[in-house]
Amino acid sequence: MVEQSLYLDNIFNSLADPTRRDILRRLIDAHYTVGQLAKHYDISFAAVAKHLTVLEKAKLIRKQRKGREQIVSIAPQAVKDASYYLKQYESLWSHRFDEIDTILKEIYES
Amino acid sequence: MSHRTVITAVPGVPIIQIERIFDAPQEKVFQVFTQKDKVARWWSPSDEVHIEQLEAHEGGTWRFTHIFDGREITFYGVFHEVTAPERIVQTAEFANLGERGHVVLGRYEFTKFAENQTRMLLTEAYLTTQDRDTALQSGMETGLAQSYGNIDNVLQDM
Repeated sequence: MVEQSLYLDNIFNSLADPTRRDILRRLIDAHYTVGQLAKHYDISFAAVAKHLTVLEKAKLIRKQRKGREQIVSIAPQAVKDASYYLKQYESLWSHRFDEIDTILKEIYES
Repeated sequence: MSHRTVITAVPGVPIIQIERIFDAPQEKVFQVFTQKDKVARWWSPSDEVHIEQLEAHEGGTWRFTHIFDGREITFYGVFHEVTAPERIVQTAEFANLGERGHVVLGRYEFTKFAENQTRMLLTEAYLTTQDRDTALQSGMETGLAQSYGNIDNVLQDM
C-alpha cells in the first residue's frame, strides 16, 4: 500500500512539470535518443537528463542502451496518460453539451 | 439525465470524433451551434467569454475569447460550409500558441436520431498527431483540470 502511493506520487510529480509533459507528448509519436530530445529544449543537456530520470523513476518512460546511445521510449503507463488527456477533452465537451441541454430545454418551454 | 458523450481517438491517427444525442429536433440544435447568444452560453467553461465574431455562413469568420485567471485564450477560424440544419464545416486555430499553421478542420453533422432527438457527430481532423495531443492538453492549460479532471480521474485510469 505504501509502495503503491509512493509510485503514484512519482507519477503526479512527473506530470506536474511542463517540460516533462512535453517530453512525454513527443514520445507518444516516436523514440528518441537522449541527445535528440535535449535539442528540443532551451535547458541544458544535464537538465533534460534529469527530467528523464524523474520520468523513468515514475515508470513513464524506458531507456535502452543501443551502442553508445540511449534510446528513450514511452512506457505503457504513459500511454494511459494519453487517455487521461482524452478524458479531459471529453469533460470539456460533456460540460458544453450539458449547457446545450439546458438551452434547448428553455427554447422548448418558452 | 443527460446523454453520454462518446469520444473516440485512434492511436496514431490525428482524428477525434465526438458524438452526442440531444432531445430536440435538428433545427433547434443547429440554432444553438450557430447563434451568438446561444454559443456564448455553452462554449466556455469560464464565466467570462466573448463571442467576438460568429458569422455562421459560408466564408464567414468566428472568433471566441475566454478568460481564465486573467489570461485571455482565443480561438478563431472560418466557416467553409453552413448547411442548416444538417452540417457545419469550419477551420479552427488556437491564437495563443505562438506560431501559426496548426489548423484543425471540424465537421459537425446533425442527423435525426428519433422523434425530437438529434445526433450530433463532430469530426476533428488535425494535421499531425502532435497537434491533436496539444489540443487534448489544452484542457489542462486553460485551468479545466482543476474544475473537472482531478486526481480521481488519473487514478481511475491506472
